[in-house]
Amino acid sequence: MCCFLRKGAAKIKLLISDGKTTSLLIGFLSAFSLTAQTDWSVSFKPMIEQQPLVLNQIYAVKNDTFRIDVFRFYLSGISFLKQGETVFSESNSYHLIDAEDTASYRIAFHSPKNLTFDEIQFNVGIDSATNVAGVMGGDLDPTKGMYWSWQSGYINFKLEGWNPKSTARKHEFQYHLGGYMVPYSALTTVRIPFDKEQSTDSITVQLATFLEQLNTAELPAIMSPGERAVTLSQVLPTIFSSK
Amino acid sequence: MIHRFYLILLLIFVGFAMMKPDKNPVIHVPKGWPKPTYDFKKNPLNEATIELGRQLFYDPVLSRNDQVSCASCHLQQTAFTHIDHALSHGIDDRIGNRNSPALVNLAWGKIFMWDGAVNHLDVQALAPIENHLEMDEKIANVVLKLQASKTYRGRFFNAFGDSTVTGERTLKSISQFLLTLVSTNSKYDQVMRKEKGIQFSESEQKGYVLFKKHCAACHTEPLFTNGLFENNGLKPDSTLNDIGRMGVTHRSSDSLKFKVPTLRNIERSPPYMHDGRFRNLQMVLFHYSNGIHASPTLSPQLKNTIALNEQEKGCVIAFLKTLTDTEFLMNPKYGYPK
Ligand code: HEC
Ligand code: HEC
Repeated sequence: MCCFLRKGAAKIKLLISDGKTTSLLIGFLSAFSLTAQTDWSVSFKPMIEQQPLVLNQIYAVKNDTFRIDVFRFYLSGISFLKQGETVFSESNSYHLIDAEDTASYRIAFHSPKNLTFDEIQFNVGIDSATNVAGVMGGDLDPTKGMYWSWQSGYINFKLEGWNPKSTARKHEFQYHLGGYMVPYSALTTVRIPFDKEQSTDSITVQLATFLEQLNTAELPAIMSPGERAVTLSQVLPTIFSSK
Repeated sequence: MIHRFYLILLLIFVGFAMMKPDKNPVIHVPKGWPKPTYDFKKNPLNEATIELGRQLFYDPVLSRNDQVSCASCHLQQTAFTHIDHALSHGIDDRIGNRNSPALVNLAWGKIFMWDGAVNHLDVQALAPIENHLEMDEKIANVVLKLQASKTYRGRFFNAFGDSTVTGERTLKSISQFLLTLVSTNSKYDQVMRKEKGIQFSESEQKGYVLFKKHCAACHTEPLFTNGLFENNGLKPDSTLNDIGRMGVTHRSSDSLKFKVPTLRNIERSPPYMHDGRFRNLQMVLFHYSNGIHASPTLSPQLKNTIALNEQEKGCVIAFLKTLTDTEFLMNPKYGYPK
């Protein structure tokens, strides 16, 4: 085997010294850059009505008051469409948006130049295949506080804070929405108009819409997969807009 | 011309593939065994990573107060169970709500914990680390502690080629150590392999026949588990109210079902069942012959009484004792790191 390796190495040397092969190699490599690529990004901006979200600050929403202490969610499977056809899908597309780290709001893409599109589609949360595939790194690393330790699975969406109506301790509330097992899959898909150029543009994440749906008196916490998580997750697609 | 280019590519790949030395360890899969369920491609075994995993398994650094290690509840000499504890106890002597199971042949496991709450071996360690009755720590804090340790930075460097500690790397290393816990050399295995001079005694042989008749539907050879969830007729303990699999799936048809445990090294791992209610194998056999509690989800195999006289029970127990693998229980590779 070792001797095969040596022979192989000798052969590679031989071929590389062959001028024609080298020029072919260069030609091949440059072909990659023919379709010009560009770097651009889309930002996801959490808002409470007209104001950007700031953690630990008190906001009035309708006739109610809220404070948000933790806000984190996953975006996955991002793609762009034109007239209903996908024109670009990000590969290995998993992003944690975390209000503690505003740099996470901006998602960078590397794609062919001059793409045009009129819609964006993405999931809020993590698909079931990834949920059963073991431990992952990067944004999916379990140190991110978005993995249930006692029952395997990702938390898709996490919102914690304070609301005077909450019947829980210190009037706090905690919503950890997730679950991938049928029939309690909490993954939701968002598809909204987005007819922008490939420039830095933003999508509003309107938390007020979500907060208005809460009943912190009756249900101040959801901490595990199940029917309640699925029902509340249905609100999520309505909080995104590109206006 | 084009072919030549591909030939180069191919040679380069072959070259790389061969340079990666075959010192990469693999786990031993005996003849006739099913393929392991674990996907080794996503976490290829490597000596340095296994060693790191072993260090972590025996290191209380994984707990909040640096006092509880995985080995506190999973002792090698008792097939990695918690000796003498019906319910294992963890940090600050808090009592958990289940009996710690044997850690053997996990590479073949499909789903983990008595109720299958954990869906992959790589994420298993998160459960004890973050359980407030067990280690009561946060994985993010474990990563900080390890990153702050020069010794661990060195071990991560050896395992992964750089010294960055992440949750993923920490957990994958623990998995690697757990995957090496393979038990395939009990007397039973030697008899099955027809090794020279090794035979079942008369009562072991009789017990084997009875076992195949009454037990093997669930405790299926060669792993001695079918990997499924079954209700084996234990009367629910009203102080625990453990509904088993149903707690995870919310389906009433899963009520009181628990994962069928392996019986390898069973002689060494009392007490028995998810709540450790039976102190010895005699009590287990008495349960199967006289103690089956009927309920809507009781497994069909147990609806008809298993009639075993005292002598037959003794034979089944004699057979179960042939599943003890002393080499596994004494293997220094699995022991406390030097
Ligand atoms: C406080 C005692 C305790 C500690 C500490 C502990 N375990 Fe466990 N372990 C248990 C109990 C109890 C169970 C069964 C839990 C259940 O089914 O809900 C278990 C289950 C397991 C299983 C599943 C086995 C199977 O076949 O389903 C594995 C693997 C495991 N533990 C590995 C570990 C590792 C690795 C660590 C260290 C990170 C660890 N344990 C720390 C008590 C403990
Ligand atoms: C219908 C399936 C089924 C059959 C048949 C069955 N078992 Fe079990 N066995 C189980 C399940 C499920 C458990 C775990 C139950 C629990 O803890 O809630 C178990 C647990 C055990 C344990 C305890 C293991 C441990 O680590 O705590 C022993 C020992 C055992 N069985 C032996 C036997 C013997 C001997 C027979 C035949 C007489 C038998 N079983 C028949 C399903 C079965």
